[in-house]
Formats: sequence, structure tokens, C-alpha cells
Amino acid sequence: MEPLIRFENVTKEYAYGENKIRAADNISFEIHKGEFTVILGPSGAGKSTVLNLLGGMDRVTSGSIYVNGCDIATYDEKQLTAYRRDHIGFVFQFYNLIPTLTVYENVALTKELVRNALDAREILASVGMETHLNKFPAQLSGGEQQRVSIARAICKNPTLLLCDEPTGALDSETGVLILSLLQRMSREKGHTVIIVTHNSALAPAADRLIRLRSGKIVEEVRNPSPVSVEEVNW
Amino acid sequence: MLLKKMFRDMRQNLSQFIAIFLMSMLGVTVFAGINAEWQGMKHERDRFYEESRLPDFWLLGRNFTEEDLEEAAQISGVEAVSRRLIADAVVQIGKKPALRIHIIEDNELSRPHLVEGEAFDPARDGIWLDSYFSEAHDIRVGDTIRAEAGGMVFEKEVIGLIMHPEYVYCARDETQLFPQPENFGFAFVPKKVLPEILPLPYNQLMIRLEDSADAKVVQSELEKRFKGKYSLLQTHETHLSTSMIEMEIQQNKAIGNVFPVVFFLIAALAMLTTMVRMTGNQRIQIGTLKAMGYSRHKILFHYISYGIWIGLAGGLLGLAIGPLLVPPILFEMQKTLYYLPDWYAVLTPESCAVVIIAVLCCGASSYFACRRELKDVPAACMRPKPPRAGRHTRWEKSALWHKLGFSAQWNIRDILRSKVRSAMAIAGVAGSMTLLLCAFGVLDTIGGLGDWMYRDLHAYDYRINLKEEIHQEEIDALKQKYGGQLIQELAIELRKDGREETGFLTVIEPGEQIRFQDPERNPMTLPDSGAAMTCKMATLLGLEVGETFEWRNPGDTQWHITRVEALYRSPTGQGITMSERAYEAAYDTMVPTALLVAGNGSDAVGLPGVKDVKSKDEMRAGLEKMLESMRTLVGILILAAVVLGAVVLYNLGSLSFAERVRELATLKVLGFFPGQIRGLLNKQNLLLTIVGIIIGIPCGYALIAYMVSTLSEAIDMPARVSPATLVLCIIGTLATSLAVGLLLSRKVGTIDMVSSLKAVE
Repeated sequence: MEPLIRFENVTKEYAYGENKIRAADNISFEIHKGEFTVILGPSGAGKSTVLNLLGGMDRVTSGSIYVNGCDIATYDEKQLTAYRRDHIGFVFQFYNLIPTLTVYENVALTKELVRNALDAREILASVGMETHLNKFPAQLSGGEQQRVSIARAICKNPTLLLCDEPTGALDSETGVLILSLLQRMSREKGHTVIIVTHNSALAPAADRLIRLRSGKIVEEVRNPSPVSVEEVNW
Repeated sequence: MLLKKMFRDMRQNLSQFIAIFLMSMLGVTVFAGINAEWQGMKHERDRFYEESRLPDFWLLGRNFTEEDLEEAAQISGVEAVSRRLIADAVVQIGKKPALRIHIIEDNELSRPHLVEGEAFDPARDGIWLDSYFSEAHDIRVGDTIRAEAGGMVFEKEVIGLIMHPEYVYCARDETQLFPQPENFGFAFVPKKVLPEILPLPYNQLMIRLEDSADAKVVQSELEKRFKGKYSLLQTHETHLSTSMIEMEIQQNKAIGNVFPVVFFLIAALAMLTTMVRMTGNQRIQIGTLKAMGYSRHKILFHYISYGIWIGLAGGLLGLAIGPLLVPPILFEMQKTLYYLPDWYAVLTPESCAVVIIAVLCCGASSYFACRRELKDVPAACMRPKPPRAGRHTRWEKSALWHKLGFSAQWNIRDILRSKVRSAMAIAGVAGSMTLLLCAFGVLDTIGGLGDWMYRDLHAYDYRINLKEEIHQEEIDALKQKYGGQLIQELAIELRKDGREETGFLTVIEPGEQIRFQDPERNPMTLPDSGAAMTCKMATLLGLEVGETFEWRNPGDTQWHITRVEALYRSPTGQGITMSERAYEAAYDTMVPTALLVAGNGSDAVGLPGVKDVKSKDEMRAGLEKMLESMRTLVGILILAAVVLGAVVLYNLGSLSFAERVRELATLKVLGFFPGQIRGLLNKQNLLLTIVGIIIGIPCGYALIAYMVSTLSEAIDMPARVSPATLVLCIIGTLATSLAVGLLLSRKVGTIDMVSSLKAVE
């Protein structure tokens, strides 16, 4: 089967002052549809860079990224925007909800972007936030905010759900709840979920595991028998 | 959804957005208000002129006959011709006020406007009286008045009270500076009232043009056909009433157009600073929106819409309240000077266009503010903005640098590092200083005019105006009794290389009653030959000392050539002055029109050959009154300038504070006392304020000069700012800026070190 995502020799350099930093160094890997993928690595390994490139938030320095058979590395600004709009759901470490919009409004925002958006109330109910619809982000706990942020991402019915350290700002119990929510989205709804984290404990739960260090891939494995997040030994 | 976000964002930054709202409102209020005022006056004036069929030309002469009427009517472009007799009478009541009587043949042109009583009817017996004159003397419809003219006394019943388009500015002549209905009025009388024994010497011919006619062509045709039969040809530009009200309208237009520009600039500046700060704070939100797939132009439009909504709301409110509030205040003043049948404000398309300008200013500045944030790829937006690198300056190598101490070093680097922010702070201070200086400077200039004219230049106490037909013996008798200095004043036309102006010719006896000042305002004496010309007239004609120009009496065909021997400055009466000797040597004997006397001359009233007597104080009061309307206008502007200055400075201050929170928190973490940090900020604020003031001073002077130059061709007002005013403006700006600085630096205590520094990676 043709993979959903294929990275081919992707390199990304940042100019930092007068120095150049190579955040992704000739990376190649594949991800299939419906997989629950974990990208692991210590801080500075280039995990977020890979995710940003995949999400169309940044441009490669060289190489190709095929999503559904199209090379998004060749896209211009306009095509990238359309790509983000139609295919990508993002979940950030610091949630990044719009502080001046309510929980419901934050999720319903997606209706302005895509035509086949799912029902915001239903999605919020599925992440357990149906009782907080009219609260502002500042009135919620971190875990609750992250659930809203996941709801917002899923509401677009995206091809890819990209999560950048989704539990990084949460305590471990809440973190488990969020991760199992994401795993459920993949198992039950068939979403392709990609999580970036530095917590290697999550590794056994992944369908596919990619380990990065200093911008290079050190391990890429497919796990035929992943465990559920709750069973992982934290 | 984004609309909701916008309104909630605005609520969170309420003070800034209210400030921008106020400024856009003030700008439109001032423009639309003043515009509605002068447009309303203009509209009513034009309607009045049309209603009464005001002529385009008046020919003054001795006796215009039926043939003359036909002759004029034959000129192509002439719609109607009419004649009348004008005579000055004295009414036999109280202080014997003067009444200018118009004896009307057919009421075809220049018809009176009825205020009370019955409409003017050329077939009826009776008199129609100036409504302001009748009010001042408590004369009612049905009363009888007695008047004496040329030795003839007559008594008539008042049939109606009227207003007239030739007396919108109701003054006897140029020397009377404001209407005094208790001393002077006008009246209309049908011709059949007079005994029909003698043919009436109609001394005025009125000519009204067709709409399509070329006034210049008709005027030269009139000059040709009536050569020798008239003494003066008046147009709307030279007629006292029509020219005065036109000037007033132009003045208001100039002021109303200049000031809103400054307001809009400041509104745009405030919008820019607010939006730079806001989009800076919302960097991550912008990144999130981008990550979600919002297109660049959608986000751009979202932020531009802040400016558009605020500008629109402020503009529309200004458009609503400007024409409601401003004209009544100004009309109160105008009503004492100009007599129009009705006063109303007119809302013009121009005012609506200014709302669009306000919207564009705010929208464009939001665009420039957020354009930068949107350029980054979303991933870069999500990262906190890298702090701008500090750079070493050339200064640092000098020995001086090390002596400066930390706070000066920090401040210099900080200013150089954020040049745009510093430049905006300086621009804000300079703008406030400019407005304040200009407003107070215009007041000073106006205030100085009276002193200059009536203290420095005119020494006499009384001015005795002489009758036209005065005899030499009568002049000698007056001269013997009062001493003083004789002068002759007449209106002339001047030209040089195709440029033509109207002005005054003054011929003056040797004496001390009028002093002259050279262009630098040092005392000077008149040249013995040729003419001295006022600086303003010389500028208008493009003349310099030593060059020649031509002049003539209006009505004459022959031009005289004269050399400019000297330039002098005079606030009013732009034109030329010749000494008696120079005039008589070159042209004619002097025919005095007034005697200027030191000491008391008030008892000259009623002596043979005396037309009237004016005290200097009276004339000065007239001038002050004329300038009063400008003062009201400037007062409104000062108020706006102060509000504006404070708002802008606060806005800029809070912006730069927000930009530096992280740095300040770092200083705090390092163990600086809040007091030390406040001192640091205040020093920088003081430095920028001083630079701003220094830049603002010349800008203020330039704006005053511009304002003054637009006021009038007839008045030469040297821009003047007294040292006290300058100091006052500097202190005012400094105090506002420092007060705002103190207010902001108080926030140092509230910086939460943990949350300010948390997001740093």
C-alpha cells in the first residue's frame, strides 16, 4: 500500500545570527494511514521541525515531503495555506486557544475554514467538555484547555492530526488522559495521529516509532502489537 | 467568530482603542463641524444673493440716464440692468445715526428681503427700514421717522423691516470694522415718494449677468462704453459686504482644512502603535490561526478590520456631532458680524469623504502594523520573537562611554536598538508641541496685532473723517483748532507684469501721528519721492525696491507709473503710501479725507466739513471684535490639541513599556530596585521628550506662519510667539510627557517576574 506520508532526504537549516543550525539532516521515513505515530527524541533533536514541515508551517531547505502523493515541499504560500486548512489539525504544547473566544467558539471557528467541519458540540462532548461550552480558556485547567485544543483540531476532520508535546505542560495523570484520548481517535475514528514527545515511556503504545537525535533518524520501527496508553508503565 | 474576537480584544485594550476612536472622532468633528458652518453660511449667502437678484457689477457715477440703461443692456451676457439713487441721511433721533437711503426705480435687481411688515412695493408711499437699525432704535412697523439729507427733511411711515444682500456685512465704509446698527443703517424708498419736479440723479447702475456670461469680458466692455461716466466699478471682490463675507468663509475653510490633517496623522500614529503592540502580543495567536489554515489575507483583513471599525465608528460619530455642536458656537460669533436671513449647518459630501479618510488612515496603519508579523512562516510565529540583538555603538570606544554609568549606557543602547519606537515617541512629543505652539502662537499673533497697529504705528487719539466736498477754509479751521496731521486715503488698482491687485493709496502730511516700520519693524521715514509699499503688497505683486509699478483710480483709464523707493510693514490697508511732497510733485494736490489728532477730538462732531469722528479705542475695539471669531475657533483647537497630546503620549508610552516587560523583569530578577528601574525609564523618557520639543518648536512656527498666511490678503500679521508662550508650551508638553512617564513607570512594581519570563526558552 502506498504510504500516506513519505519524507525523502529532508534537510532544514535555520540561520541563527551568523551561524547555521541544521535542525533536520537528510531525513527519510514513511507513515501509513490510520497509524498512531510517535516521534521521540531529546530536546533539540529536530522533532518539532519535522512536525512543522509536515504541517506546512515551515519550508524545507532541500528534499521532498509527499502527502497523499503530492510533494508539499514544492507548494507556494497559497497552496500551503490551503493544505493546512484542508488536511492538518494541530495540537500544541501550550494549547494556543484564542483567549478572547469561548470554548465553543474556539472549536466552531473551524466552520469558517472548511466546509465539511464536524459538529462542534458533538466533538466537545466526545472529549468530555460539553459542560464548559461558554467558558473562556483562562477559566479552564491545562488538561481541559488541551482537550478543547484537540477538539478544535479534530473538528476539521483532518487527514493528519499533529501534536507537538501535547502533554508537555500537564501533570502526568492528565497527560495520560490526553494521550489515551488521542490514541482512541486513531483506533476508533481512524485518524492518522502523529505525536512529538521527549517522553520515551510512550514508545510501546505507538504503531510506528521514529527516534531522532541531532536532526538525524536513529530508529524507525513498526510495532505490530502496540499496548494501550493506560497500560504503559509511566 | 473573528468578529467576536475583535470586539473582545478591543474591550481588553479599551483605553487605546477609545483613544483612537476619540481621535478619529475629533478629526472628523472639527472638519465636519467647521465645514458645515462655512458651507452653511456660503449656502445661505448664495441663496440670499439669488433670491434678491444681487447684481454682479455696480457702477458708481453722477447721473445714469435711460440711454445708459439701454446701452448697458445691449452688452452681450447682461441679463438685467437697473439704476438707483443712494444718499446718506441723518435720522432725527438720539445720537443722530446715519441712514443710507436707496431710492428705487423698479426693484428689478438687488431686492430687499422682508423680515416684518409688508413687502417692498415700488408703487407705495413709505419707507422700508434695516431691521437691525430699527431694533437698535426701537422703531416698529407703523412708526414714522424723520430724516434729513442734503438740506431736505422728510417724514415717512415705516411699512416694513428688511434685510439686504449688500448689507450682510453692514458697515459704512472700510474704516468701520464691525457693524454698529445704533450708528449706521440702510433704508429703501420707492422713487415715487419724491416730488417729480426734478429728474433724479441716479448715481448707481447695477448690472446682473447671465449665468453663462464671461464676467471679465463684460467688465472690460462696461469700462469701454461708460468711460468717463463713472467713478468706480465695483465687483463682488471689491464690494465691502460681499468681499468681507467671502473672506470670512475662506478663513474658516483654511482653519477647518488644516487642523484635521494633524488629527488624522496622530490617529494613524496611535493606531499604528496600538496595533504593533497588539499583533506583537498575539504572535502566537496569529501562528495558531495560520496553522489552522487561515489564509494570509484573511488574517490580514481581520487585523485591518480593527482599524476600519474604530475609524468608522469614530468618524460617523464625529460626522453626527460635528455639524450639530460646532456651527452653533461659531454662528453665535458670526451673527454679531454678518446679517443673513437664516443660519444653518450644511452636511456636505466632503464631510462624508473625510470619514472615509479617517477609516483609511486607521485601516492603513493597522495594515502596516501587522504586515511584519504575518510575513513569518507559521512555525516562526509560534516561537517567541527573538529579542533584538543589542549592538555596540561607535561611541562605546570613546573614553566618555565608560564614565557614563550603567543607566546612560543602557538608555543609549536601548534607544539605538529600537529606533522606530524612539522615533515614534519623538514624533508624538513633537506633534503635541507643534499643535500647542501653533494654537497659542495664533492667539499671540492675534493679540499682538492690536498693539502693533494702535500702540506702535498709530499715535493719534482721534480720527476726524472729512466730507468729500469739504472746502479749504474748513480744513484750515479744523487744522488750526486741533493741530494734527492730514491724510488722504483712497482705494486704487495696482499692477505689475500682468498681476493686478486692489489696495490703498495713502498720502500723508509731514507729522508724527502715524509711524512707519521697515520690513524688520524698525522705525523708518517715508521717502521724499516715489512711493513706499507695504511688504505684503510687494510680495503679492512680486516687486522689489527700485522697481516700478503702475496704479490708477478705479474708473480712470490712465495708469500712473511709480517707483518703489522703500518697503514698510503695515497690518492693514495693504498698498502704497506717499509723502505729501512726493505726491504733489508727481501728480496732484492732496485732497485730505481725514485729520488725525492727538488729544481730544470728539467735539469736532457737527463742525462744518466733518463727516464723523472716531476714537482710536473705538477702532481698536472694532479690530479686536473682528478677531474674536478666530479666537473662539482657536480655543476649540487648543482643547483638542491638549487631549490629543496626552492620549498619544500615553499610548506610545504603554506600547514601549509592553515591549520591554521582559527586559525589565530580568532587571528585577537581577535585583534592581523598582525605583532604579523607574529612574532608568524616566531618564529615557525625559531625553526623548526634550528631543521632541526641540523638533516641535520650528514645526510649530511653520504651522503658525502657514495659518496666518492663509487668513487674508488684506492683513499682514507677522507670526509672533512671546517668550512666555514658548516657555508655557514647553512646560506644558514636558509636564504632560513626564506625567505620562511617571504613570507608566508605576507599573514597574506590578511586573510579575515569573509570568513575564516563563515563555523564554
